[in-house]
Formats: sequence, structure tokens, C-alpha cells
Amino acid sequence: MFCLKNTKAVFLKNAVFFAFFVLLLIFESQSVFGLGVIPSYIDAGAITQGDMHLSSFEVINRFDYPVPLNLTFELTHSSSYLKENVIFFPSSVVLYPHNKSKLFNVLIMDTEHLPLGNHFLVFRPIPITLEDAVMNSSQNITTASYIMQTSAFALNFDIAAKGGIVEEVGEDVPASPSMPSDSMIVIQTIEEAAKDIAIIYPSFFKVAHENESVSITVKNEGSFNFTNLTIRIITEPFFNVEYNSVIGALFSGDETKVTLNMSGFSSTYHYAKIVVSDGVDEWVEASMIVYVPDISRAAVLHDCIVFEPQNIKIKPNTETSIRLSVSNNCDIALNNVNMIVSNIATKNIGGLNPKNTSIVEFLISQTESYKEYPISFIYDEGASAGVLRVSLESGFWQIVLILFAFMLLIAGGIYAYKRFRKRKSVTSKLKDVKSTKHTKGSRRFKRV
Amino acid sequence: MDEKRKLRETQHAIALFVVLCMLLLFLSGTGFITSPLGYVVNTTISVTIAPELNHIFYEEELMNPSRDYVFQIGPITTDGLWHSYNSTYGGVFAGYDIGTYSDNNTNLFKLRNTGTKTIDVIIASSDFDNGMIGDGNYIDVNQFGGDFQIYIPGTGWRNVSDNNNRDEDGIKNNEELCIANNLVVGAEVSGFDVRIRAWPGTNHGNYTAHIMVSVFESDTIDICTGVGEYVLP
Repeated sequence: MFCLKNTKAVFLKNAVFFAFFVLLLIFESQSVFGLGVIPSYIDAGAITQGDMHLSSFEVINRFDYPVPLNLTFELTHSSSYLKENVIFFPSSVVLYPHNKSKLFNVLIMDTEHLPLGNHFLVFRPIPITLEDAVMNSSQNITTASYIMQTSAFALNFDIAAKGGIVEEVGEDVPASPSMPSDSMIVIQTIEEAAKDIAIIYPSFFKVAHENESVSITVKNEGSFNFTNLTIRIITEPFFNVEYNSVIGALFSGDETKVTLNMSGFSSTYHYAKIVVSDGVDEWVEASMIVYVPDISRAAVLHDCIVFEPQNIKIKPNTETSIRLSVSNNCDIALNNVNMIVSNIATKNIGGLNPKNTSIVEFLISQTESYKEYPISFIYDEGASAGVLRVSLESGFWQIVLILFAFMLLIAGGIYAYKRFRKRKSVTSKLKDVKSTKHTKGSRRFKRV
Repeated sequence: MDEKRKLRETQHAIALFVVLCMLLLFLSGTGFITSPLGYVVNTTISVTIAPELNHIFYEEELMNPSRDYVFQIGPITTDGLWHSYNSTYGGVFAGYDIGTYSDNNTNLFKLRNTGTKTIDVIIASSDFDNGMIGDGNYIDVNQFGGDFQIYIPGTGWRNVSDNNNRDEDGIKNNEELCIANNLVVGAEVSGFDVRIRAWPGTNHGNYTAHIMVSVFESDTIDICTGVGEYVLP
């Protein structure tokens, strides 16, 4: 009894010590961090002169700054010669105390003006507080200094001559789309606890027509019911944008689409700022790059690209590699072909000669039994579109296998149990027999 | 003899049960089996830890560094003498940590690598200004004979570079000061201090600046060749 009590006490003591150790670890790991970056380095490989490269980075806020920070991005002195070739979008972001991370993109462009060879782009997010330090002394001279902590990002790339080989990004390098992306990004600003507006828009839009349309989604992700929302588009350099500026009511959980009809492009690159306002409080804003390739409008071709297969089956909840065969059905070569699978993948295929085929591979995972993914192919000469239909494999054989395994398990258990009972009963009978024999013998002995 | 047989058969039953369980576990472990209701019984879980560049520069011996990202020294005199924040390494006058965000502890500063990469750390600051642009009143931060210095343990006092030309003096130093070189993951450097001085003619008032502590991944951007050196980032 004493032993048992002693064992219990030792166990309790160990458990308390273990719990204390775990708590200590948790406190230590949550203690102090600064403004970090992921990834800190990307090797973009080779970029052909005239092409562009899009990379995504993330600023991680592991430090509980009690005041909001305005993050802008600054090239280091050594990288300042790339100033005209780099666009950050959004160009600045506000990091509120509750924001744990912010995504931003870096576009390398105008590469035709960059010398061939290796380039190393290094830049830093510059965090500046949006509130002044309030000092409690007004006498004489008092100084205060904010300690702003930041980390540097680095992007290595080679400029290759046209017609050169475009290298694939290595597998160990963090994923980054290698070319202009139409992938949708979400900029989300939480103004108050209840107000939360998300603007979903293409971070990069490549113009293929004289008149283009793009759809923007405004979503109310907070609990506040907006009654008078408006949207405003600011363009730089100026181009025409026609849209309905009145969104009106947008209740909690609702979303609405706004179509922007764009025309009158005057530059290779335009910058569009999207501003949503509720008329009372602050607004939510985001930005989009509009790229206008310098090609003759008459030369724009459509539906040159076809891909196969268009219907595929994958396993549920499993990341599956999809291989698409992409062919050029037109009689002219297509340059700078980019495949964009909505919200899934962006791949640069490069040039595609007439009647030639290229294999593109990407990963996909889904839980729905059937889903359609719009696929766009954008190239210097035009654009093509299609739909990839993905359904899940039937789980019939899996169900059969599970049932079989369970039945085998149960049968095994029953068999073992029966054998055990049978042996037990035989043993009991044998015991009875022995006991009977012994009694008879005694009687005989008595008779004798 | 019967006891032995009974024991053997029980062992066989247990072995059969274990083998069946292992078979089930193996099939589910490969992600091959999903339950009829669509729930995943078990799939292979892959975890990727993203390498992160991170650090913290904060006051020592404190539990709440979020209160110490802004610090205050003052009031200071205008006789050109140094006022040190902690005064461990000298400075005619000790500083006072008395700001709104301060914790009233005037401790030395500590640098710690909290990321997953070896880092180089550099420092620079804007000039200390009273918020009135154009009145000519500021405390100069400059790599060459400025009025704001940092004490680097094992190296001594060094001028902090000016990283901003959008201020009163319009001067910016291209180089920044290395305060740590190849600081490995989890490593700490303790004992940093800062000091400041103002000259006669400087108006009374509150002067603020932004100190920028930046980290670079040593493996890809080996920016520092030594602690206490000025480098071009």
C-alpha cells in the first residue's frame, strides 16, 4: 500500500515537473521576436530580356508593437541601380498590432534595359510608426527613439539574352510564380473589430485587347452591415476606367462584383488603385498592375492554345500531380505563354512553336466531389481560355477494403475467443474426470 | 501441460490481433484508406518549416520587451556632454527611461537571433527632430562625428549612421554600422547602450528619431566583415 502511494506521488511529481517544463517552453517561445521575413532569399534563375518575374514574400510580425506601423519597401544602396526595374505591390501596407503577417509582391520588369548577367536585388521593409512617441517631459530637451526592427529580402536572378534558355526554379527554392501572374490576391484591412472588407482582384492584369474588362470582388468579412459603400479607381498613368461606383448595401458575409471596363492605355505599365469607402470611417485600398504588351492590337490571336486532358480524377484530400499537355494550334509561334489556373497555379511555358506541345505539371488537392477550374493562357500574341474539370475517384474499393479488414479483425477475435473458451471447457472436463477417478479410487481403497 | 497450452493459444490469439491491427494501421498510414463517410482515417502528414529571418533588439532583464521598443533619455543639457541611457560604460549623465511606452527600467540592450538563419545585424537612425521641419533644430545623427552613439560590447562607442535625408540636415550616410557579425541561431549579445548630446542653441522640446536595426542572412548576403565596421548594404 505504501509502495503504491509512493509510486503515485512520484508520478504526480513527474507530471507537475513535465507540465512546468512545457509551460516554460511555451513562455520562452512566445517571449520576444521582431519583424521577420519569409523567405529571406529567392533564386529566380534566368529571366529572358523583355520578360518579367513576379515573386511573393511575407512579412511576419512576431513583435507586439502597440501602435500601427506603415511598411514601405526600400532597395539597399547596392541594389539602387534596379530602382526603375522593380515594383512593389502593394507599395505600402499598414501593419496593425493584430496583423501577424502581410503578403506583398515584387515585380521585376523592363528587363530589356538591364545588362545581361547576374543581378542581386536586396530590399528591406521600412516600418515607421503611425503615432508619435508621447513623452512625459516638456522641460528642457527630452529625446525619444523608436527601435524599429526589420529584415532584408534578397532576390537573385540572371538576365539572359532572348532565345536563351529559361531555367526552372529549383525545388528547394520557395514557390514563386516565374512570370506575370493573374492569380487573385486578397488585401484585407480590418478597420474596427466589426468592420472587415476584403477586395479580391488580380494583382497583375495583362491586357490583350484594346478594351479590356476585369472583375473585382468586394466582400464583407466582418459582422458590420454596410449600407452605403462606394468604390473608386485611381489610375497612374491615366487610362479610362468605366464602372459603377456605387456598391450600396453589403451585409455581413455578402460579396459583390464590380466590373471595370478599361481602355485608352498609354503606357506599358499602369497602376490602378482600388479604394472602397463606407462614407463614414476609413477606406480599404489595394493596388493592381495593368500590363500592356507592346504589340500590334491587330495581331492579337485567340484560342490558339488547347490542352489535354480536360477531365481528370484525383484521390480525395490528397495532393495530386497533374500533367497537362499544352499545344499551339495556330500557324504562328506564340511567345511568353503563361498558364494561370485560377487560385491554384501560375506557370510560364515560354515560347511555343506552331503545332508544338509542352507538358505542364502542377499540384492540386480538393475535397469536393466535382469542381471546375478556369484556365487562362496569356501570351504576347493573345489569350486562350478553358476549363479543367476535376472529380474525385470513387471510394468503392477503399470501402470494400476497410470492411474486409474490419471483418477479418472481428473474425480473428471471435476465432481466438472460441478457441480459448473451447480449451477452457476441455480443461474443466479433464479436471472433472481426474477428480472423479480420484474419488472412485478412494472408494476402492475403502472397499479394500 | 494444459496451462502451457492455454498460454500458447492465448499468445497466438494476441499475435493474430496485433498483426491485423498492424495491417490496418499500415493501410491507413499510406493514405490508401479513407472512411466511407469521407473522413480521412489517416494520411501522410508532411510538415515544412519555413526558414525565417528574425531577431530582436530589446532591453535586458525584462519580461515585456514590447514596452521597450521606444525609449527616452532626458531631460538633457545643452553643453555638448554625453547623456547615456544606462551609463554602465560612461557618459556624464545617466538617462531616464520615462516614456509612455517605457517600463521605467533603464537597462542595457540585448540582441538575440530568434530566426532560423545566421545573421548579420546593422544599425542606423534618422536625426532627432522636434517635429518642426525648417526651424533648424535637431540633434544630428551622423556616421562622421554625429551626436548619437551606440556602445557595442567588446568594441566600444561608435557613431550611428544617418539613414534619412528627408529631414532638417538633408544628409544621409550610405553606410550603416555593423553591430553583430554571423550571429548564430539563438545566440545573444548583451551590453548595448546608447548616448546622445545636444549643443548650446538647441531649443527646448521633445526630439524623436527612428532607430532601424536590420538583419541580413549571413549565408546569402554576408554584409558584415566585422563588428563596429561601417558597411554599404
